Amino acid sequence: MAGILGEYTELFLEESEDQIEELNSNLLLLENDHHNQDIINDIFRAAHSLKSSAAFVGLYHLSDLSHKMENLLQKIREGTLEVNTRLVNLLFKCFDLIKNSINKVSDGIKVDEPYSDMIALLDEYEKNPDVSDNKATKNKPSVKESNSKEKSDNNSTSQKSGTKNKTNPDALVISLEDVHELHQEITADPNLNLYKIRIILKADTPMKGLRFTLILQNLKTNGIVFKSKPTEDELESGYTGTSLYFVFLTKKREAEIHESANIDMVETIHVNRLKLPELPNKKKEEVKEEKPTEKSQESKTTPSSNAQNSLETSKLHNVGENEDKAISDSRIVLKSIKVSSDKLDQLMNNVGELVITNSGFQKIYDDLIALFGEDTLFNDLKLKVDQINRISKDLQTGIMNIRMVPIGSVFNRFTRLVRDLSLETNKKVNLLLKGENTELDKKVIDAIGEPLIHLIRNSIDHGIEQPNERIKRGKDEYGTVELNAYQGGSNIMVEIRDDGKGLNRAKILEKAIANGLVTKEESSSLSDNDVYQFIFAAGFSTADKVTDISGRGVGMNVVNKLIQEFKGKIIINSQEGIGTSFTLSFPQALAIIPSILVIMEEEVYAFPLSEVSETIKVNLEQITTLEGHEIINLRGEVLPIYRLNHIIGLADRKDLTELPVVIVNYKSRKLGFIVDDLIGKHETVIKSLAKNYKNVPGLTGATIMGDGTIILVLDIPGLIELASSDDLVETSDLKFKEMFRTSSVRSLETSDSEKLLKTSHATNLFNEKLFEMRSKDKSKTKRDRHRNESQNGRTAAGARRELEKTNKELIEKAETRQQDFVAMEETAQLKLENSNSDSKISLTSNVSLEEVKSEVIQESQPAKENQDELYTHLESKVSSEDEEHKRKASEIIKGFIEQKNERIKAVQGNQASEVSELLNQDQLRKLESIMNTGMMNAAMVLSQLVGKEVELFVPDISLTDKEGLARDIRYSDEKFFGMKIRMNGDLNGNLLMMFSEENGKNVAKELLRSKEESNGNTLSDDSISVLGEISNIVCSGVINSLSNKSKTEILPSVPEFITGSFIEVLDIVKPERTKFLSMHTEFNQEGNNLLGLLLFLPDFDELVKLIAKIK
Amino acid sequence: MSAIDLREDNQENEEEYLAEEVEQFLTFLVNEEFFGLELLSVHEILKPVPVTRIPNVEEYVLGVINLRGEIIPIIDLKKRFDLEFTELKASSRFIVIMKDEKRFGIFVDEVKQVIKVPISQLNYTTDDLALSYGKLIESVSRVNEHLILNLGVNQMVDFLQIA
Repeated sequence: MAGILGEYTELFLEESEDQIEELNSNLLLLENDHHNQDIINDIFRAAHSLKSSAAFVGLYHLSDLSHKMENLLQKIREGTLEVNTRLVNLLFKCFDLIKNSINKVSDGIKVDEPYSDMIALLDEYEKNPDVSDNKATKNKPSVKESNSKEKSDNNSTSQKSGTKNKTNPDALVISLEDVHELHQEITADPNLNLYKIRIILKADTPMKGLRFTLILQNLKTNGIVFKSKPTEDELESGYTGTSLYFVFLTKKREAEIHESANIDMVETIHVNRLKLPELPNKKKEEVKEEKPTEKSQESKTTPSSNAQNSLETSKLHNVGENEDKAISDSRIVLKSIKVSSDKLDQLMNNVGELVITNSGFQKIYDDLIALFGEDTLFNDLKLKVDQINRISKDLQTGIMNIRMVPIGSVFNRFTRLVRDLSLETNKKVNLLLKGENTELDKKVIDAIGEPLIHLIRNSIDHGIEQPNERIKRGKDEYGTVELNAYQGGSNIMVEIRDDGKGLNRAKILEKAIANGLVTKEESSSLSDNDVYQFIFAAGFSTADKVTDISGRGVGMNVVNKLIQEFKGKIIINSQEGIGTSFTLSFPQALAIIPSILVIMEEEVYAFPLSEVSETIKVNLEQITTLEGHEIINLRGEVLPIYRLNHIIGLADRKDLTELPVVIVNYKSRKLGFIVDDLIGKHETVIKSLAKNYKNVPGLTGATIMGDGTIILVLDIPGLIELASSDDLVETSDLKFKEMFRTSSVRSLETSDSEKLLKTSHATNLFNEKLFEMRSKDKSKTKRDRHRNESQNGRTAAGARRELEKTNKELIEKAETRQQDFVAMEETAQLKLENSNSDSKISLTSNVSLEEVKSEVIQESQPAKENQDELYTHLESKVSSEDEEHKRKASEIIKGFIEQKNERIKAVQGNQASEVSELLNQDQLRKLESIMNTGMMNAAMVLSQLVGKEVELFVPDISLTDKEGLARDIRYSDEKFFGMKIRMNGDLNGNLLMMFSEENGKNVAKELLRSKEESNGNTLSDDSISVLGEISNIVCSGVINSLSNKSKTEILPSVPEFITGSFIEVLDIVKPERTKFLSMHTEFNQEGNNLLGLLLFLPDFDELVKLIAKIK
Repeated sequence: MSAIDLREDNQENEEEYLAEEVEQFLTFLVNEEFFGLELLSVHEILKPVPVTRIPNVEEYVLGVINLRGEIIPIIDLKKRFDLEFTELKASSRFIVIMKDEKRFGIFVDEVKQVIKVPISQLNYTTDDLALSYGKLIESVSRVNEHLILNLGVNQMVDFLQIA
C-alpha cells in the first residue's frame, strides 16, 4: 500500500527517523566536543541524505530546510563557524521541525509548508554568528587534560560558550592513527617524552610564518615534530596567525624546549606534558563524558560539561574512543538487519505450533506404551521425541529473544529530554544511564517510552530541587536522575531514581483523603508503599500549581496503565530529603507460560505457574465466612477464597466434600480458588483471543493442547475483579444435566464414567447434541454396512453371525471375546452335556428389565444346538413371558456361553498344569458345571434384583494365592465393599461377594429408592444392609445349586460387611499365605461397568470330597 | 425450503446481462430466512465441531473452536437476532468469515448455494427495516421469489461485538 508520499513513503520514514535520531544524538555529542571532525562529518552526512531523500519523496520544502542546515554545517566543518550554544539550539530547533514533519507523514498528513521562518533564522545566523570571532583566538591543541576542571557558569547543560578559553576551532586535532603512531614511537624508544606545545607570537610580529618555521627547525634538531597546526607548508606559504600548536617528541626536558623555542618576538610559550590515552579498547568501560553515537553503547552521560566528574578524561581520549566506537559501531550496524515485526510474529506463531504438535507426540507415545507395552523401538522413539522437544523449545526461546530489543534505544532519547527540561526549570541535572543492554520484548519497549518520560519529568520538576536549595541541604548542586535496567529473577526491572527531595507522604495522604480515595481511619493502616500508590489515581496531584511539564495528575495514570497492560508491577521507595525511586518490573517471557491445568466439569483452564503459590485440598468445613466473603485458614494465615465455578458461570456442585484449591499470589497477598479438579502442569503457548475476537475479562488468552483441546488461560486480577463485580451470572439459576463425556482430558481422579453432570449452557447442550448425532451416525453406518454384507451371503451361519454381530454392537459390547464368539460358535465344542432343549427361555415376570435396544435374534435361538443341560432345570423355574424377557434371557445366556467357552480354553491353557494336578479332568468338569449353574443362578437373581442387565464372565477356576488372584482380577486396585458369607456344613469355606465402590453405592441407592446422597466413601446403614441382602441372595443361589447337585448340605451364614481394596478384603477372608483354589466370576453391567464379583473359596479337601459325590 | 434454481434464469438472461457486473453471494438459512454473504469474505464452511465455551461473554457467542491452530469464535446468529438458540441439525454448518486479518464463524441452519446477482438487481437499503438486525443488512435482492438479505461483513463485526 503506497503511503501518502507514494511508494517510497515507508522507506523514507524508516530512514529519516533514524537520521533524525542520529542528528540529535550527534549534535549533543558535538556540544561537548566542539571540534570533533568525525561527529561534524556525521552530522553533515545525515543532513545531506535527509535533504536528498526529502526531495525524492516530494517534500521540497523540507529539502530546502535541510539544505540551509547543510550550509551552516559546512561552515562548521570548515571551521569558519564556531559551535556554541546558540548555534546548537538553533540546530536543535531545526531538527525538531523536521522531526515534526516526519511524524506528520507517518500519520498520513503531508506537510508542505515552507519553513520560511526557520530558514530566515538560519540565514541570519550565518551572516551574524556569535560574538567571539575565531580568527583571533588562541590556537591550542584540543588535547587537554585540564579541560575537565572547568565549570560553566551557565546552566548545567553542556554549553561551551565562546568565553571559555579552551576549545577552539583552530585547535589541533589528534586522530586515532596519530595516537597509534605516537604509541609506537614511545614504545620503540621509552626515553621519548611527549609534549604539546603552544607558541604565541606578538600580534605585530612580521613574518610570523617564517618565525614559526624557524622555531620548528630548531626543535626538530632535538626531536620530532609530530603534527602541527598550522602545518609547516602553511607556515611557509605565509601564515598570519599568532599561534602555533604542535606535538613534539623529544628526549629533552621542558626547559630545554623553552630555550629552543624562545626566539625573538615570541610572546608566550606553553609546554605541557601530553599524556597519551591508552589504546581505546581498554577504556570502553570507563565513564566518559561523551554521549555515545550509537544506540548499543554503554556509557554514563552527563549533559553537563564534565564539571562533576572527577574522572578525568582527555579530549584526545574521547576523540580516539569515539572514533573507535564509531568504527566499531558501524561494524555493529552492518551485522544487524531490519526485520518487519510481522514476519517475526509469523515465525513465532509457527514455532508455537511446533511446540504444541510436539506435545502431541508425547501423548501418542504414552498410548503406544499402554497398548503394546515396552519395546526398544519405543525407547528410540522417546529419545527422538525428547530431542525434538528440546530443540523446538530452544528455537522458541531464540525467536523470542529476537523480539527482545535493548532498552538503550529508549534511554538514549532521554538525554535530550533532560537537557531541555533542566534548561526550562533552571535546575542542574545529570542523567545517568545504566544497563542499556538489558533487553525487553519489543512491544514493551515501544510502550515504555512515554511512561518513562512522565516519570523523568516528575523527577525533575518535583523531585530535584533548585541548585541553591540543594547546596543549602548539603547536596551537590547537580541533581542526578538515574535510569537503570536489569534483570531480577524472571522479571526485567527498570528503575528511575533521583536524589531530590522525595515524596511527601503526609501530603499525599492528605490529598488522597481529600479526594475520597481512602478514609482517615483506614489510612492509619497503610504502609508507605500503599500511600505512594495513590499517586497513580487519575487526576491525582499534590502540585500546588500546574506547569507545562507536569502537575495535572495525568502522567502517573499513564504509567499505571502501562504497568497493567503488560502485567507488570511498580514499587515506589522514597525518603524525604534523600530521594525517590520508581521500580517497574515486567515479566520476562511473554509467550511461553508454564501453567497448572484445572478442569471444571469438562472445561479446562490454566493458571499461570508464576502466580501459583501452591495447591491444597480443603474440606467443606474448613471454609468459613467473614463479612460475606468466604475464607479459609491456611497454616495460620487467613486467605480469601473464591469459587471458580461462580466466576466462570458454572453451577455449584453439591456432592464434593473435599475441594481442591489453587492458592495464588496477588499483589503481595495470597488467595485461593476452588476448582473441580487438578490435571497437572503444562507448558502453554498463549494465543491471544483478541486476534480473532476480543479480550475477555478474566482471561489472558487461550492455548491449544496436543490433542486439540482448547484451554483458557486465566488472568488473576481479571478474575478477582469479576468476582467482586455484580454482573456475574447467578449460579443458582443454572441447572445441571447429565451429559455425555465429550472431552478426552482426564484428571488424576476421574472415574471413567460415560456421563457426568454438566451445567446446562447452550454450548454444553450443543456439544452434547453433536456427540449424539455423531454416535448415531457411526452406528448407523456400521449397521448399513452389515446389512449390505448380509445381502450377499444368506447362509445360516452367515445370518447368525451377522445378526449376532449387530446385536452386540447395539448393546455396545466392545469385548474382543464377542467377536471371537462368532468364530467359536462354529467350532466350539462345549464340554458339557448338550441337549437341544427348547431355546425359548425367559425369566419370570418379576423381572423388571430395561428395554433392550437390540433386535431380536429369533433365528439365532435354534442355532443354539449347544444348549446344555444347565438350562433344563432353569426351565422348570421359569415360565415364558413376553418377547422382551426372552430376549433378555437369551442375551444373558448367550453372553455367558461365549465367554465361558473362551475362558475355558484360556483357563485350561494357563492353569491346567496346576489344577489338573489336584483334580482330574472329570472332577474339574463336574466342578465347573456346578459352578456354572451356581453362577448363572446368581447372575439371574442379581439382575432381577438390580433391575439391570447383568453380564457375567465364565468362572475362572484357579489355584492361586492372594497376589495371584489380585493380579488375575481386573480392577483389583479399586475399592470394594465386600460381603463375606461363610459356608458351613458339608463344605466349609467362604463366599465373597464384592461390589465396586461406585456401583455398589448406586445399586444400593436405587434399590432403596432413596434420594439420599451417599457421603464419600461410607455407606449408610441402610445401604449396607441392602448390599448384604443382595449378597445373601446371590450366594445362596450358588450354595443351593451346589448342595443340590452334590446332595449335600451346605448352609450359608449371616453376611459380614467388609470394605477396602481388593487385597485388604481378601486378606480378611484368607489370611494364610498358602495357595488355594478359587473360582470367581465377574458381573458387569452395561458393558464394561464392573458391578461386582463373586469369589468362591472353598476348603479344598472338602471340595474334592464333594465333587466325588456329584454324579 | 426449496432451493433457488437459477440455472434457467441465468441462461435466459445471459445475453442481456453478459456485460454487466455481477456480485457473488453465499446464501444460507437462519430461522428459515434466506441470507446472503459476500462470497469474497467467506473463508470456509465446516460441519459443526465441538465448541469450547468462553465464560462471561454474551450469550450468543457459543464459544471458540480450534481451526487448524487458530482460535476463532463461533456466533449463534439466530440468538443474536434475539431469537432462541439454534437447534443443531444435520444440515447445520459453521461459516467462517474473514475480515481484514480476523476470522470468526457463524452458526447457521443450512447453507444453500452461491448465487450471482447482477448489480442492477441489488437494492441497497436505505430505509430501516423493521428488524432488530436491520443495520446488518447491506443490500437486498430478489431471486426466484426469494428475498435474500445480504449481510455486510463490516457491520457484522460491530454488531457481533468482535473486538
